Amino acid sequence: MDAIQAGKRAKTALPTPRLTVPLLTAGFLVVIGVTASWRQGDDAIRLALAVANNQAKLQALSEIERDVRESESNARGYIITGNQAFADQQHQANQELQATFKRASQLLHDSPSQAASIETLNNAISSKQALIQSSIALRKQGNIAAAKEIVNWPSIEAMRQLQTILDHLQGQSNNQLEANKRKLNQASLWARSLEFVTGAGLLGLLISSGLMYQHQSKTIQAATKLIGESESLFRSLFEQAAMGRALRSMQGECQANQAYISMLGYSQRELTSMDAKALIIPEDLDQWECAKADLLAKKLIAARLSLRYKHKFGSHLWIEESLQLLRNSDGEPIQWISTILDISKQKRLEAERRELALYTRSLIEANPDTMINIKQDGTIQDVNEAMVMATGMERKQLVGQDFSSYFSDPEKARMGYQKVFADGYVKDYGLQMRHRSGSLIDVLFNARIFRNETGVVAGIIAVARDISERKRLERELNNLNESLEKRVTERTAELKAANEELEAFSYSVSHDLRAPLRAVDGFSRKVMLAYGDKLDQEGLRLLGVVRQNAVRMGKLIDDLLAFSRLGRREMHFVAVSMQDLAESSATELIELEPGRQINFSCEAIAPCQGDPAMLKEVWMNLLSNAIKFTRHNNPAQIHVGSRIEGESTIYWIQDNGAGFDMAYADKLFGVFQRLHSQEEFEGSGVGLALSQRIIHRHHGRIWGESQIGQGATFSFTLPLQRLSPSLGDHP
Amino acid sequence: MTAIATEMQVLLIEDNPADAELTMDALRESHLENRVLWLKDGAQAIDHLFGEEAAIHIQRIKLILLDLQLPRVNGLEVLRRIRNETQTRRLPVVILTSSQEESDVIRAYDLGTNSYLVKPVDYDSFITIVKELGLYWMLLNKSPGESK
Repeated sequence: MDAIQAGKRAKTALPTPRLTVPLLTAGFLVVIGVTASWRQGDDAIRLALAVANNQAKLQALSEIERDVRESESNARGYIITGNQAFADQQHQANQELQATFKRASQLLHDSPSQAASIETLNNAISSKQALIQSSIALRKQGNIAAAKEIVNWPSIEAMRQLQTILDHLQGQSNNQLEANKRKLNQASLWARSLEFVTGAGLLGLLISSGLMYQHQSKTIQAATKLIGESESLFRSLFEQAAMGRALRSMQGECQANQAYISMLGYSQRELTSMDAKALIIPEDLDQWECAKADLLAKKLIAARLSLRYKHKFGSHLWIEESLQLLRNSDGEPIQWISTILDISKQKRLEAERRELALYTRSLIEANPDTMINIKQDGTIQDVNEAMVMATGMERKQLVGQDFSSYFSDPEKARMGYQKVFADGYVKDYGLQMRHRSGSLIDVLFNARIFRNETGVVAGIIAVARDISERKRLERELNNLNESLEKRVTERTAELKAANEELEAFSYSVSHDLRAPLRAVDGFSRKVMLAYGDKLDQEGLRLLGVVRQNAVRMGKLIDDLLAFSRLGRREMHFVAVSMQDLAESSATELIELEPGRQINFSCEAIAPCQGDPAMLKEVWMNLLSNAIKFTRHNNPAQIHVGSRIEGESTIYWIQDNGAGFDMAYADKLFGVFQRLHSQEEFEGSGVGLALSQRIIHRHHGRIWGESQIGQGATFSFTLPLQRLSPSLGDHP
Repeated sequence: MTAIATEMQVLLIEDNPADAELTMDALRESHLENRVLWLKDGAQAIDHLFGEEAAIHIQRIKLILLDLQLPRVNGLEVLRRIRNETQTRRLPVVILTSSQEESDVIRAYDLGTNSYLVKPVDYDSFITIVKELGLYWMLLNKSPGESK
């Protein structure tokens, strides 16, 4: 990161100047300038030579004129004076003229037009000289007049002709000179321009080079700085990286960072002398070697490996390794760079995750209920084995298919999953699943949406329970219920009839049976009253027995009726003070036995929930029994109490009476069942049966414990929690 | 006492002759035996109360002793008729029966009986209660329209 930023910084600080165009332009100018100057130089020299030639020509031509005039004037001097000196000077002038002409003719050869005039000039000079010579010769002869004649006119004419030729040649040479001077001037102007261009080009080159040099040096500076920074960065990255990193030369020298060392447990020194192969477990060595070979063969730039390293202490580490081969600029390998990351934890987590996934999958597969994962569009994403079994289709056939197509009512199935997407779930959604064979299975769907990690609804997990068996049972149960109901109705009708019959019977018993008994008793009494004096003692006793039995039968009938009525009686559950009931019953009963000493004691006994009238009957029955069976014990001891055991209260009545044989304990509570003779203890045998029935209707139990002659304890339980009264059972 | 005796009656509606005899024995002890008119079933009672000369009969009735279990028309039906008719509705009716059934007691009261007595099986008790009821209703109780 830092290296990248450093690079960016260098780039923005030193933008490469756009110097190419100016450089090329300047170079071009220099080349053009130099080339042109070269050529221009030649021209200038040539022109300068021409100018010099022209000037020499003009010089020579004027010298010819001067020499001719010198010769003539000396000739004239001689002619006039006859002085030999003039003749000598003329001769000398003549000599000079010859030399001058020779020089001039050489000079004039450069111009073809003038070369042609050389002969003419020579002729003119020769003819002039001839005239002068002839005049001199005449003078010498002394013919002064002739000599003067020649000198006056022909010589002047010859001089004029020569003058004309010289003028012409001088004019030509002057023209040439002027032309060459102009050309030379032009050439020099060009040369200056070229010099300027070349100079400008050179200046441009100089400036560009300067700029480039400056830029280059700045770039080099920045690069140097960057290299420094990146090296220190690399160093710190290398050293402080969380990833282990080792640089290994081709000779095997190893340089490892701290992470590498602490990851594998070997010291830097140990590593240096170790073969890298020794760090890797043999099973994974192959892939490492292959990677190295590929890197050496340049098949790869970098290799990424997942293999197991050996820690110094023997444990295996899952390592993710990035292996690189560093090469120099010639492509020669110089060192291995191995970067390793300990992924043992990830591997372990991965393994755990795989195991968990496998476990979860097993759960899904083991589920006997059909499980389906449905996408938003209703296609199946995943199923379990139960679904495969339920449809008879292969798993891969199911996945991707429309969910609703496996049901007898696809529209309802579709509505089902749409409802899940709308409400988030469905509960016990009934459908019929279709097996490939065409058979239908009744199922109940429970489905719920599920979300992916980001909370987006990813689909539905639907679980269907095969309820065909339940349905069958339900139908069976319904049938049974129906028949049962019918039977119940029938039975109820029967029972009702029986009940009505029983009622009529009870009615008859209460009414019709008692009337005759009353008659038996009443008329026996009437006999005693009307005919008592006519009967002896035995006769009266016998009538008494008749009457006694009639009354007893009346009592039996009354008790029996009470017992039968009890089953039909409605119960009124209220809070009942058992203490009050027990004490008031005892008081009432003891009052009926004025001659006896009865010690009644009552502990503080627990209240209950029940029908007070019925419970009073229980107390009355049990206490009257206690009083009755303690008749022969003086004083009678009757003790009442209660205790709580588990969910119920136990009430008990203990006496010191006759007791009973436990062998017959099961007969105690039967109707008309008695364990004592009528002579010993009178009674109808209904009281305990009645008490049991009442206790049962209160969801309690009743029992008796005794030994003959040791008194008896009767106990009954009542539930602590209030229960609804049980319906009356019919006798 | 004499005036009452010549005019007013106990109407005993009872099918069982033994009970009827015992009842009359008891009433005899209250010296009411000559005032008893014994009808043996419900139909006779209806005829007596609502038939010809019913008005004359009704005029003389001071108390009706009504058994419930009666042939032809039962006691509760007779009671219902008595309470439904204007001329009989205020007559004191005492149910004297062997039935101890709560349902009978309730229905009798619902239909407007003035009293409900269960005949004891025991002779002495029976004589005692009938004697006392005779005295009470015939001598102590005041009915509407009586001068005394």
